[in-house]
Amino acid sequence: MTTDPYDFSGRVALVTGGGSGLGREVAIGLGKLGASVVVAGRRPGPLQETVDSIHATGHRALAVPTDVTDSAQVNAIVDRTVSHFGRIDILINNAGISGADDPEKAVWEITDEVWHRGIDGELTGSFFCARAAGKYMVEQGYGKIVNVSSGFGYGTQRGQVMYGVAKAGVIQLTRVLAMQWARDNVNVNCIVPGLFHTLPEDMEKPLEDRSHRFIPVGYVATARDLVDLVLLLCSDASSYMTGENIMVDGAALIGAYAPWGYQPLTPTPEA
Amino acid sequence: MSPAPFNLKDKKTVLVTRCGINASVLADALTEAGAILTVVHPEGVTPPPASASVPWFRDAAGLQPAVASAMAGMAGIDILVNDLAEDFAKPLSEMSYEEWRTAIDHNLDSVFVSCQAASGRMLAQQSGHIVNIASGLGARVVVNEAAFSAAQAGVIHLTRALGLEWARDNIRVNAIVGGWIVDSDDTLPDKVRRYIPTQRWGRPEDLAGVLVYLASDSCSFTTGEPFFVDGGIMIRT
Repeated sequence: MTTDPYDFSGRVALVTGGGSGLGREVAIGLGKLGASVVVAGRRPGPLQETVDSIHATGHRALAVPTDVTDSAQVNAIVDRTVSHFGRIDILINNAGISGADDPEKAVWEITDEVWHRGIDGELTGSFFCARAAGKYMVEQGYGKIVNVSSGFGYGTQRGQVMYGVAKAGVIQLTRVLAMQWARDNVNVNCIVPGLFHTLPEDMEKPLEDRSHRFIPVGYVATARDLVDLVLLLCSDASSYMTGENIMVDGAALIGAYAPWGYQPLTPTPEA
Repeated sequence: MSPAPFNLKDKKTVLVTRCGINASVLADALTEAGAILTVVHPEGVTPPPASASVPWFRDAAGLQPAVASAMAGMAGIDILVNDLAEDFAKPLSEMSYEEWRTAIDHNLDSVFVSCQAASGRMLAQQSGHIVNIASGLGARVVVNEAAFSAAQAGVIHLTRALGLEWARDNIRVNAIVGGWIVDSDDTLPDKVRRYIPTQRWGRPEDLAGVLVYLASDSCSFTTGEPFFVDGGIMIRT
């Protein structure tokens, strides 16, 4: 390898949902490695904090409050990214509006409006961003798009409807766009996290919550556990990877066949 | 709908089985649907009722002459059902190579030998249905089941591979992938039952209807496909 694939100098990234959690960590990570970063999100305060953190490392960043479910706002922020920094190389489709699902409600009680809110927040926004950014990426013959799905896009649990459907949509959106742009040097990949803490202070929490014991590795991930994978998928170290959905779930899904602790033996020990 | 849906009338059928909990239910389902059934069973084990039976010594290699003999007895074969899963659970660090080999031989090699033994006649006549009974542990995992899981994953993928390889020879190869199938409520810890989305154990009877469909001419465009019969275990997180 002649050049450092993690040298993002001269690269321009757009990170949605960049005010907190994974989006914030990825935005700062990209900034540290030299990228100029546009940070999108709904709340101006946290966005500015992310931008300040990137500025503190001596790199360029811009906060642009945006609702990704509004395509006019999405087109505007992509255009602004290009006019401000000259190009757009990396898109992190991290924004998500969870909370549309109400486990107390029967499926037939989900209104059209709530259905669309659930699908739009998690899926349509990612499509809008990829559509707007992809046009520039194809034109310039270079692009990296990283989507963020969820283990609930593969497996499911009771009470969850729109979120899982939308996240499954993100998984297939990844493949569809990767195929569409496979010959344009635009890579589209996706991370599929299991349970993870989004707030740094949660990392210090002891593992008392028994609901997390099913995770085979025995702990809940943090946003920082995911950042390096996102950076890999943004970098030229993964140039031949496209259309891939990568599980980062501590083996939760593959092990979801029996409760944790179930360890059969042959022959079966006498009770 | 095909001319005689879910009907196996006069179909020459070989059921290769280890005579575990599924065997008699599968045999009865095939017979009740009209099949002429020959059961290939381990030596020294009483086979389920059938028109004929052929014993074989448990290893995979021994299956070739046994399946050949079963086909010769009926002067042909239309349907082959492989019910060959044999559970084996042990920590990998303690597993001998011999134990690993035996698990793979009994669970995976045996399916290969059986399918190959039937393939000559099926290819010659340009028709046939093969149904492999596999375990959901071929798609997900639990601790201590590495050898069994790897072999079952092999059975599922072998099913896909043969479905493709013989697609234009009119041989349909599909699999039934059972979840937690038990014949009594106290075989396994109850917490496993509660883990299943439908919260009930699978029974051998749950496989019977799917088997008849997959063995019949109703199944003519579907091939290489694993049919999960698992109470929803594969959709949960």
